[in-house]
Amino acid sequence: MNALILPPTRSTPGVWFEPATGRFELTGNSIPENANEFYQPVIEWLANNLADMKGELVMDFHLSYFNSTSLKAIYQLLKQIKAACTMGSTIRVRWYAEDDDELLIETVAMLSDMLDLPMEILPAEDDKVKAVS
Amino acid sequence: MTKNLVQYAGQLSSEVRIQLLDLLKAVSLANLGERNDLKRLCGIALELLDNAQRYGNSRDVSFEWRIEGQSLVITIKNHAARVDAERLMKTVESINAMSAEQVTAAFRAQLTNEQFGEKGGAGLGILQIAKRTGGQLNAHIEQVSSEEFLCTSRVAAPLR
Repeated sequence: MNALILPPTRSTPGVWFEPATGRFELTGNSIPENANEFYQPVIEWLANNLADMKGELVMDFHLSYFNSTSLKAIYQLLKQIKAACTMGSTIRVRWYAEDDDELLIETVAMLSDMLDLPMEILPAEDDKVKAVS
Repeated sequence: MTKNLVQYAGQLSSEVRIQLLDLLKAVSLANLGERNDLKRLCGIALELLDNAQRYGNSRDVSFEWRIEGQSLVITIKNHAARVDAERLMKTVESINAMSAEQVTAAFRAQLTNEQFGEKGGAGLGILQIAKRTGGQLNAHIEQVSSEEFLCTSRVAAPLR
C-alpha cells in the first residue's frame, strides 16, 4: 500500500498518509482558492486504500487556518474515513487547537455532530511536545 | 493617527491574500490583544478575500479592515461579471432574511451537498460570514459596463 505524502505550501496543508506506520496527518494552513482541486486526489487515495486498512486508524489535524471551501472538502474526507469504520478499522480523529481557538472548537463539534463521528480536541502544546520528541 | 486600520488596493493573487491574512493576524493581535475570537475575525476577512479572488474579473480589489467602536468593519470592492454580481446580491438578500437557526441549517445543508462551483466555490463563504458575525451583511453592485459590475461587500462583526 503506497503512502501519500505532499509537502505543505503557503496555502495547502502538508499531507502525510502512511498506512505502514499508521500516520495520517494534515498540517499547516488550508486556504487554497480551489480546495476541491487539492483535496480530490487525497479523498480518492483514501477511497482506494482505506478498505485494506486494519486495526486503529488515527487521523490528526494540525490546521491553523482553513477556509470554507476547505471545510467542505475536509467534511468529504472525514466521511470517507468514517466509511472505513464499517470495514473493520477503528478510527480516532484528533484536532490540535490553541486553548482560545473558539472557532476550531465550534467547527469540530459541528463536524462530529454532523458525521456522528467522535473527535478529540487536544491542546496544541501536546502537538509541540510530539513534534519535538 | 487611525489605529486598527489596514487598507490595500491592487492585485489580489493567492500570495497577496495569504500575506494579507498574516498581516491581519499580526495587526489584530498587536492592537486587540490576546482574545479568543481573533481567528473568527481574521476568518471573516479571509472569506471575503476568497470570494473577491474567485469571482473578481480583473483581480484588482480594494480592501479595508477597520475597528469602529465595538465592531470590526471589513469592506471589499471588486469587479465581477454580471452573473456573479447578481448572485452575490441574491445570496446576501436571502441570508439577511434568515434567522440564526436558518443560517446554521443552510450552512449544514450546503456543507453536505458535495457540490463545488465551476470556479471552485463551495457556496459556504457568505453563510460562514453570517454565522461568524451574527449580523447583517451589506452588498451593493454598480454597473460599470454592459457585463461588468463593481461589487462592494461590507461586514460588521461585533467584538466580544
